Amino acid sequence: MKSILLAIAVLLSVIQPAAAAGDIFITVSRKVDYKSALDDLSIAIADHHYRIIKIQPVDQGLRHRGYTAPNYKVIFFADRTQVNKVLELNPQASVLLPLRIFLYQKGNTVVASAARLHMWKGKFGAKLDPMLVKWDRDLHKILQDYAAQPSL
Amino acid sequence: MNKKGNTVGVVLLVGLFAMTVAGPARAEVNATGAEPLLVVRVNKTMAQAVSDLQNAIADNNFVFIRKQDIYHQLGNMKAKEGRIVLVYFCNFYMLHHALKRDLRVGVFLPCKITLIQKKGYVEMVAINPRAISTQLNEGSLHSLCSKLTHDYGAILQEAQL
Repeated sequence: MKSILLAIAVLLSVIQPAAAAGDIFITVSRKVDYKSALDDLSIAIADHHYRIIKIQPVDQGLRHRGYTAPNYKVIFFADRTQVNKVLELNPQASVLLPLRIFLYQKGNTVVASAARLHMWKGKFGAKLDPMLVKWDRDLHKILQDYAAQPSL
Repeated sequence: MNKKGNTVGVVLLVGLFAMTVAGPARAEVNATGAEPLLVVRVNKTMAQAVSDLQNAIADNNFVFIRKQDIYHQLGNMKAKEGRIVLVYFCNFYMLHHALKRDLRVGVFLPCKITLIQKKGYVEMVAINPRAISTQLNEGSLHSLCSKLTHDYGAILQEAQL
């Protein structure tokens, strides 16, 4: 019996952190109209000292071609100092730039989501790892700020 | 097998099961069997490489969306501009069907290839969608990502000519 309990304990200890590591998205949602959500997210991005590069209207692109689509936009943003740093340390890491958050309508809620960048740690050299950690942290804070705004 | 042998057997089996379940989720990007980046080197000027890439995008049934310098909207950086150019493109038919399956497909939107000016050549780099999809623990996007990886490969190969 003891051995079975030990085995279960080993199993749980291995699986638990894996579930967290496998979570590649940071996602929040609010019951709010889409335009307000886009405004709130834009403000949250600016509050964290990033500049919005482009708001990609994925929904309009699809509708113009005759497809139905939910409200769906991708917000690109970056910071000049960070771009300089990336180019200095490893230009290949610029594939991760600009950062992006995607904002879409799901029923009566608006979901904001970003892919976490921790999975790239070590890929572009150890000197860039702190930048990846910072981007992950900033994405998390931006989405937290967005989620903290009042809902309908 | 004696009692001690049984215990060892159970622990080994459980460990094997745990490795099977936890392995892919813990893996680094490049430990999934797919390279995290697709990289091609072309002996061309940046302008020629961008132009050829745009043609390759059209030839592979994608729509060119835009090209922009990495410093676009980031202030006056004339001295540094032209070293890194981002080219965005999309296949709206594929996108429509992908969104119906999984709204999180935004992580791949729009398709992008980054061109990096090096000394005497240009490097074209893209994130490998297949490497990302293996991190999702979600079967719904795997086929889309495999198709995208194939298409990226075809576009890069043609742009290299």
